Amino acid sequence: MCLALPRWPTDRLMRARALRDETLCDGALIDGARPVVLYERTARALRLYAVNRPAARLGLARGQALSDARAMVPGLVAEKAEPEADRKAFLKLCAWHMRYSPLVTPYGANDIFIDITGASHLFGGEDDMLDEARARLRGLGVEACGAIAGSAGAAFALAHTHRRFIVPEGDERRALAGLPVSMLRLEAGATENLMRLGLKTIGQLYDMPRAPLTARFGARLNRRLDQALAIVSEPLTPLHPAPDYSAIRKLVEPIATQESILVCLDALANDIETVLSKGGKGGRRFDLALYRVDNEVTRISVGASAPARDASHIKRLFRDRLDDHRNDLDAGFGFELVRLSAHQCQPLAAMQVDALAANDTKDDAAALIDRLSNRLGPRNVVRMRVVDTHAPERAVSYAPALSRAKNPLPAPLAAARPLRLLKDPEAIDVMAEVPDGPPLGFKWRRASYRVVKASGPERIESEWWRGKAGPPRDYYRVETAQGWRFWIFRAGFYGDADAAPEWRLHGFFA
Amino acid sequence: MSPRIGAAAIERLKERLARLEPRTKLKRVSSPVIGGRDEPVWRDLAPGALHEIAGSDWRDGAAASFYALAMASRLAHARRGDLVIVSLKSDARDAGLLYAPKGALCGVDAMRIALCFAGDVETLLWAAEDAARSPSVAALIIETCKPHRLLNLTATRRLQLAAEASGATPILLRSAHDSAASSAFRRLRVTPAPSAADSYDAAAPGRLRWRVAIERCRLGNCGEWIVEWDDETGELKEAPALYVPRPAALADRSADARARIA
Repeated sequence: MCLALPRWPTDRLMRARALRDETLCDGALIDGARPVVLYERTARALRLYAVNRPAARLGLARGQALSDARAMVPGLVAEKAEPEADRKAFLKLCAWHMRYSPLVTPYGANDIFIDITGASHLFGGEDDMLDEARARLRGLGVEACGAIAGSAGAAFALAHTHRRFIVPEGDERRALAGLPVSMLRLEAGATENLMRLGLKTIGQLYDMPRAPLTARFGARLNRRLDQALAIVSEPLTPLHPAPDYSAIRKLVEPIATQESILVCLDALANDIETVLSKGGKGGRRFDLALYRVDNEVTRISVGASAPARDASHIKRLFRDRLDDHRNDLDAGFGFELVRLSAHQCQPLAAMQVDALAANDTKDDAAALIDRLSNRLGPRNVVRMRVVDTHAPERAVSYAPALSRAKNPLPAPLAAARPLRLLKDPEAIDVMAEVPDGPPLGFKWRRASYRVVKASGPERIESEWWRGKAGPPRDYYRVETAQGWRFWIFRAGFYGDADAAPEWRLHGFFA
Repeated sequence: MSPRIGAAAIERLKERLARLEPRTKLKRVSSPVIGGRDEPVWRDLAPGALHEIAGSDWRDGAAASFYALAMASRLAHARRGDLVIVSLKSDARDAGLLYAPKGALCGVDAMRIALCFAGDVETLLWAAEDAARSPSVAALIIETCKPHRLLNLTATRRLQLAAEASGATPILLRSAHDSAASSAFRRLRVTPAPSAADSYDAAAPGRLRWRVAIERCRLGNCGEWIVEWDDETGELKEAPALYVPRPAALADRSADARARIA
């Protein structure tokens, strides 16, 4: 299916203004019958960028000079174009169209390709689906033409030449025959050359020998023609990668409360468990997309540390996240369509239910990590990993528990290391024997400590091969009179001409 | 008590009290010593029994967490489960992060430890309860550095109930000045003590020592001990009493004895 939005920039502007209760630039209220144009600044003049329908009816078109347009239409409303905002809003609109199918591709500035293979029955067939799509856009104040065809190219050509068109299965050749060659999405020069040769319609190209055409117009013409006729397939890059599995619920009555979303989720989780277990797969990431009545999409995604497909587990993960979103989940006028999709699917062997139920602690551990990670955030649930380095702050890395990375090597380390390490060593005032004696006392966080026992130094060179070389550090293990044991270091040496040594507290022994 | 109440009434009362008591049998854990890995006390520890550990100053946090980890390592070994540590993100900045460059902490494989950082106390309690409910968790350490209003009797009781079902042992590390009521099975206060003398360097700190006070223990004794961590065996022992040189026993130098030797 291809949806063409010929008046997108003006439609978007009018809708945005209407939503914010703002007026047009001359103070007039929003009125669908007023001619409105958008202009852009080019090298020589202000030229029209987009025109709305009333303006087009008065003979205005894109590319005209603004001064000419003003002369032709007195009282014309002219606004500055905002291509950036148009683009952003367009992508958002495209995302909302994923309600029809997960494979949505924005094309150019105002065309949407939707791959509806195997999805149209959910909306009552192709006819109803196209009508619904157009009606919904019209409801938003956006003019849309649409076509459904066996190929993206054919749908594009028909959407741009008809208001509404559905090509019967395998009938692309006849449907396209009468359309101008410009609808083949060629470079501007190639279209012009074809016209000059008298090849005005696509049908005229059907029986031309291919080789001379290629020689003259390049391989692109033949490729586009084959793509439009569904002889070769056209690769499209969808907005979001296609999920491996997905389940969808279309709701008759929009829902807004958390309870009703959970009920819906319940059904979806069961559906997805069924399809996943049929395929022998489990998903590592699940997306819940809630489509609002007014073109907005709310997405919630949860991750799993191990491939999962158990419906109750998936439900539990989403319930925790929904609890978090309780206050900022903006339902607007309600959600009317909910899609649950599974991504990053990996093989997961079928499981025997309830046999040896006491022995499944491994699954329990993974499920617990999933729940904690999704509620606290993946970066807040970590496991320690030992890194083979002498730099103390890098010797342990804290990797998200979800990532399931293996710990490659347990480092053989003989020296004493503290139980807790500060992320940033804190500066302290130290009294120590010059030049390299152990500290005798120090001041840290506004309290003084007298050192009664100290061992060291353990010299650790900075990792000069990593670029940022600092002075070497001399680490001391000290015990204060009260019994606290700290790990402190001196960076640099006394008597160094460049810089005075710096003392810092880095960690705590038990 | 009125003398008319018979033995039957007292029996009934005893029965009622027994019903109110936790159903699981509580074993005596009264010594703070943490012995070898296969000591049966950790296997028999009542599931869900909440332990509370505190220092007497905020700088005692490392000592308290060491003791908690030593306990947890035994539990993880006995139950073959994982260890979950829940703490507040804001505390990590002040107190530092747990650090295991040797790949193990008090005998627990660092990979078996999941560190969770919560943004606030409510989330902390949620995460703790969720972890306590999971049968895969052997021990759960909840670390706090400041007193929190929400960390009260209700919270500890909930935690205990959640853990009772799964068999995990929750260990709550409280701040030194937190005196809120709790349903703890045992409450300890761990403060550092001067370390033992190092055998090679008199000026260096030797084996780590702590003063451990059991302030409350259901079915056990309270008291105070000085314990010492033996790095080689990985055991927490009672520190040997100070060495007092004693004169050798007087030899028998009587004429008889001399004659016997001859």
